[in-house]
Amino acid sequence: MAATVLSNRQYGLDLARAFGGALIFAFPLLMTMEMWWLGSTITPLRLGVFLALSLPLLFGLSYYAGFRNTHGVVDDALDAFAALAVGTITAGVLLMLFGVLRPNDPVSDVMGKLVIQAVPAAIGALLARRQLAEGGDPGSDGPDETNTRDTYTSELFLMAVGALFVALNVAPTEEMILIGYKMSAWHAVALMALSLGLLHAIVYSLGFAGQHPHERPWLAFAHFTVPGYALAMLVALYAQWTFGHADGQSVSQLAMTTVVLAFPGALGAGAARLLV
Amino acid sequence: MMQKAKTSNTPAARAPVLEWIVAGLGFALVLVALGLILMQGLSGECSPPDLSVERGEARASPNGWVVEVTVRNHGDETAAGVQVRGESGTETAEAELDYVPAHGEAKASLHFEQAPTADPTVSVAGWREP
Repeated sequence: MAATVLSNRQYGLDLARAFGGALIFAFPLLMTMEMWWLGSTITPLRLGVFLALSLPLLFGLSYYAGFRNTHGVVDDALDAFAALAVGTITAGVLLMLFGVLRPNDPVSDVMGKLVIQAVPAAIGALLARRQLAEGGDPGSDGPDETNTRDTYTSELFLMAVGALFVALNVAPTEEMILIGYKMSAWHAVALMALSLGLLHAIVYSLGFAGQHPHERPWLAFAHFTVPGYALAMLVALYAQWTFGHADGQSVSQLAMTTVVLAFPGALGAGAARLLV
Repeated sequence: MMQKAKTSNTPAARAPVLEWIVAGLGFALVLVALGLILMQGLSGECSPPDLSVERGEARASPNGWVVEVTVRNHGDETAAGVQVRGESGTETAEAELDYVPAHGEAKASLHFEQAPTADPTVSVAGWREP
């Protein structure tokens, strides 16, 4: 009994930390008006796909990071759902305080606004442990314990999550399209080169390749940088589809805005190692 | 994780009650959201925006007269950039609403210089797709 009480108390602390993470990581999106509008205008298909995709993503994130040390697949699944609950509550409370959610709003409107915000907030909740935890957590294996799960697949997964997380913060804004209009093809090529260069610099200096000391820079480039950038572009495409920015765009214009959005995405992919 | 291999308890037995409660809440929220989305998505036809206008009382402001207008959307799609127009005597007034959500409402205010003599007429001039 005493152990259960202690355990509940420990979980309560982890939960508080999760709320902190959700708040810190989600407030830029909660304060972005395009995200509120999107809650009203997004089609059921896109919203459904967004929510459905978030489940394996949150589960994977809980497996590799999580807001506390988990003990198995069931725990990870519980944490993924708990993170969504934390994200929904955080988004609901803040949007009500901002006067964005009002008592008479139609149900579908409220639900759209909450779902679209709850997922990034849930990612923030799961990132909380890494970002906010003290080193000497009781019952913790220490901050380096996730390293035992480092595999190539996990690195790519984390890069995709990092890309999604950072890209989501700017993807809903009109500026992404506007920047696409302002850039020439040469600007786009230069931005791609910069994205790849920065991603490689982060990847190499943070030691993604560190597990393989024999690896040379160009090998790391082929193993991590290029796939990481490709993931950032895919994430950018997906985000544009979700937010309706891809609708009615020509292929060349879509390529342009994808390069624009893949820039923060690439930074996120590289920084995934720092965040997670 | 190394600890996982050593532990003899099943993972479920280790989870504190609070964990199940919070996760259950999350699970319920996901189910409700998915249910609502499916209901919307499978309800078949999606009717275009269908806007009606309701005029509120005219009230005096320090610089003229303000007529509040409530625009309701009875359709399944959201209308964006909704133009609201009002006429009072020879005066016309305009306002734009960013969005009127599907099955929702939004308010605008029309401003007139002169006190409305007869009841001012209000209407929706048009809107665009979001």
